[in-house]
Amino acid sequence: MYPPLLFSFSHRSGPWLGILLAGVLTLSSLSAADFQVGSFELGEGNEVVVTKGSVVREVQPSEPGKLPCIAVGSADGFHYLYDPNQFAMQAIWTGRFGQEHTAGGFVPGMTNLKSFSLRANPWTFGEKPRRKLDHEWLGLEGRDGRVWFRYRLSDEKTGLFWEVEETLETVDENQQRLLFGIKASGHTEEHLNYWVRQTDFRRLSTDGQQNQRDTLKNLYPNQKSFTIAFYRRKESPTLPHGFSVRELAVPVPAMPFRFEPTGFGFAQDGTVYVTTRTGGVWRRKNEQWSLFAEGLHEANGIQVTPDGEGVYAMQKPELTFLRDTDHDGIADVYQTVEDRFRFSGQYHEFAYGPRMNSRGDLFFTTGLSAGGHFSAAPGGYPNQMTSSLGYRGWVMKKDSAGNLTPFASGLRSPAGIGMNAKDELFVTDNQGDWVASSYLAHVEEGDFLGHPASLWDRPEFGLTPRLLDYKTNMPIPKEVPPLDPKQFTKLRKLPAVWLAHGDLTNSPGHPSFAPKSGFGPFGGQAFIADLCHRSVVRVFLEKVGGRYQGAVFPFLRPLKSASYSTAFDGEGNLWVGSVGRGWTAGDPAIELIHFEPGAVPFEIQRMELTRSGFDVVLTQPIDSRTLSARDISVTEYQYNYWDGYGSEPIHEKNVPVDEVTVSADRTVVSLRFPQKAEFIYQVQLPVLNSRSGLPLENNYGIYTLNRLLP
Amino acid sequence: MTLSQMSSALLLLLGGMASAQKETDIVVRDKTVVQRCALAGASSRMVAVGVPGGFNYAFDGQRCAPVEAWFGGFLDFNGETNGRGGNGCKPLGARRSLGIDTVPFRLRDPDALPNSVRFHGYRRNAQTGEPTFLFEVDGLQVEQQVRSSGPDCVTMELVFPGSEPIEKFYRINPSEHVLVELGEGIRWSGPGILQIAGSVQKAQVKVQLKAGNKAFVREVVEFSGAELYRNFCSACHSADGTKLIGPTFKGLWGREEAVTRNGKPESLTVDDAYVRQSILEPQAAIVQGYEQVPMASFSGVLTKDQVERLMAYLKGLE
Repeated sequence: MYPPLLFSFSHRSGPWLGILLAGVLTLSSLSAADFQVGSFELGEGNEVVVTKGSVVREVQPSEPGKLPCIAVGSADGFHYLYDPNQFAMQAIWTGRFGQEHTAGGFVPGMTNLKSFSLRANPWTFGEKPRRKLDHEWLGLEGRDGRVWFRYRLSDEKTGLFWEVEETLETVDENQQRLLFGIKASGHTEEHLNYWVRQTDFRRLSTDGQQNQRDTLKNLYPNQKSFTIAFYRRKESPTLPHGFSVRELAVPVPAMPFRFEPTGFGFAQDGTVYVTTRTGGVWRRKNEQWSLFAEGLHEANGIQVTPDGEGVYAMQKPELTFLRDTDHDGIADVYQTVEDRFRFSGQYHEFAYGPRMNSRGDLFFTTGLSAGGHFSAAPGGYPNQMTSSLGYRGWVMKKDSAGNLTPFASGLRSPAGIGMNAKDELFVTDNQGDWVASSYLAHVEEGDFLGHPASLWDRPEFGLTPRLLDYKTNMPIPKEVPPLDPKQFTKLRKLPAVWLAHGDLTNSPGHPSFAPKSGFGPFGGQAFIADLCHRSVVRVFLEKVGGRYQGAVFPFLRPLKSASYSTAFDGEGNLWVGSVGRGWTAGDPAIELIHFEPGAVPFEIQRMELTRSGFDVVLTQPIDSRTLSARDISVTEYQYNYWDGYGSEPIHEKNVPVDEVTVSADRTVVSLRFPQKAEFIYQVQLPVLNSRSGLPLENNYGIYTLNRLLP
Repeated sequence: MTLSQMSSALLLLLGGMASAQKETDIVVRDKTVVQRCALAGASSRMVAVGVPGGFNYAFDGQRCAPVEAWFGGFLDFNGETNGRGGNGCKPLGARRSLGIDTVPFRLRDPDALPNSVRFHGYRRNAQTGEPTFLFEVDGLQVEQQVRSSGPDCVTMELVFPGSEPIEKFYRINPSEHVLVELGEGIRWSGPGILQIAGSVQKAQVKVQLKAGNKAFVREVVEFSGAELYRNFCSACHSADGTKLIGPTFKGLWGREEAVTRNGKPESLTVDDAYVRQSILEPQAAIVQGYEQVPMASFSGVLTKDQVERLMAYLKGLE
């Protein structure tokens, strides 16, 4: 079913001492030995050592009847394997390219493998993707010192075909780019799609707004070129000294229910209440689990009342107060506390919360719809989140007197809500349209946090009544006025901390604030679990010009499964709940992170903005090593604010450090470099050692500099 | 056989549904199950209730009223557990309207919608799990329970705790029902309008649902022959030779049976015709020794296709 191989190259004729080809040559017109964009020598043990450009070798297919894979070795030390049967890169590796076998054939030296995890047969056509496997392989081409893979895609429905050429460019060990050239046989309005998983990479970006996490890349109709840039994550496990992780036995409910913890509530007496995604509330008392309440509609968050009279649970249609009036350990009253907001039933209309302040006011958040209804930039990115109007994408406040107030707007998919010891409310939101990267925001009344679909509910539009009760509940409007980006850009309150999408988070959950003491040197800081990374990140916040901003640091990875919910118990342990569904889910779990009193980890405790740079404050004195400006790496970048799905960093560049000084007690590294407001600064120290002999594993922080010091 | 006998026999049979059909089904065992969910084509603020024995209904937290019922399995939860979830639940039976398409409870003026309606949730009976729905209409606190009172029959009970004697109205569309039976102190005051006397503290309305109200039939789960057997037969007929209330189905076809037909003993060889007749007219020829507990007819319970599918399955039991 495949066309005959248009090229065939073997080593029979001995070592190739090829010539770098200029201009366009296709293999169909070449003999194998002529196909060279580089040169090599045969080393000891028939090792192929690439000395210049790129060298191509055939790797025998595992199944008969398949085309051989193509190994490309390059002089810069990055080698890769392309599978022409699947039109996809298979692997990239460093070190040895491979070995000529005396019996014939080439054995790639994939010992330092950096897997690509690209999808087999990545190309599809149209909105409802049509996939076809038997595309035509055209062969290789040597051009500009690179190897191009060429094939012809054809679509039976439209009769169109596209000639595609593809090559890999390596920037460094952690960064590669796939470049595509595309020629369509005719004009088409249909999308050509290239499938790729983003979650395998620290960052993945394509041209412009085509970036869509973990799913299709929609190429614009008739697009002629296309680049995917891959940034690999460094994912070494980390757990600061003095901390330990203990997994807790969890209940196994009868199917179809599961135990996927979405929120933790702690009563004064130590009883723990846990909401689960399939609508249960479990109680753990004296180390025994029991089902406290059931049948909720996707329970997502819990708050125990200070008097222990009951628990508030958030479910999609309402905020509910659960009480056990006959004291048999099972809730018997399911009281509707608040339902005066729209819930159209669309699956993405999640509701999160509640969190209670010291006055007894409750706060909860509502997510936007993932389809139907109104999007803020019609005609823009096709999969924008939408609003049915009726306080979707809002923070809602239910005060202790029972009044409901639409409190703040601009949320997209706010999977996290938390409150610090000062009654200050924070939310996290998930990357997507209008949300360049996941973030942590401090929420105050009247704020607009950036996603415009929630704006139509604001009073100035006169569309949504202040309360959507039975009487005022309006039908979903037939049309809404356009929104003016110039206007709402001005309204927007910047997140306190961008959570560095891809680098440190992809899908953050609840922010939980560490108690003043009991969690090592991180009292008062926010801890956020990430579903994709199976990690917990740590956030330091400081007020600059009256507003919170700060830095995010790696803290702990990996956890057992898709970690999402967090909370500190009365003893200062951090509870982390992992759900059994999601991008990288395993089995649901609860893990307790415990700090051993007296231990001192070696971490960046905080990064404080100064007038000339940052003070990077460490938890322990560093050893006697001298630091020079060249030891510190500083990168600055910004994000787009647009309807596209997330944003790759823009205006990204390295910032040379002018001066570095270490304080007399050797715990503060002061950096001097020019700063700009509304930039993000990633500051990386070398892997330092503490005077006590601990290495600084997590040697970087990412600071969101919204405002300069006055 | 009286209606109530028939209904208990039917409910007994439906009780056999406690064996799960699918891993994603919510199974009702010995306690009433309450599950909030979105049902396709209905309000997103539904509370679905599954009562042991196969009676199920949905209470709408928006209209503050029970709006539909179904008999059979409770809910397929797959839409909530598959992937990101949130895709609603499927009732495991034909959805049948309770004839309520508005906020039915009114004070003073039956033709005007109330000024305020607040859903207050529900209270559950600690022993049975049964919910009592709580809501407030124009300041009046109302409690409501819903029960099955025979095949196709649903009783709605409204209680007004601590209310002043004030006239109340309930809107219900009688054309959706075969029969509407009114409890004490309730009368029709106009088309589709029930008037509840001020002195009534507890109002009861019993409706007999129309069979297969097509407008509400959305998702009927097609049972396999094995599932039909499990749900409708296994409580009384074993598949492995064990003697239960009725004869075992093991090796049924071709078996010589002594039966009583029209009061007279008779011998027959079990074949398609006899099994089919026994499902649809169980009293026609009863196997001797099994007269004590008369079987209810499945005529009108199982469709023709279901009977054939069930028979094909039974035939295969070695």
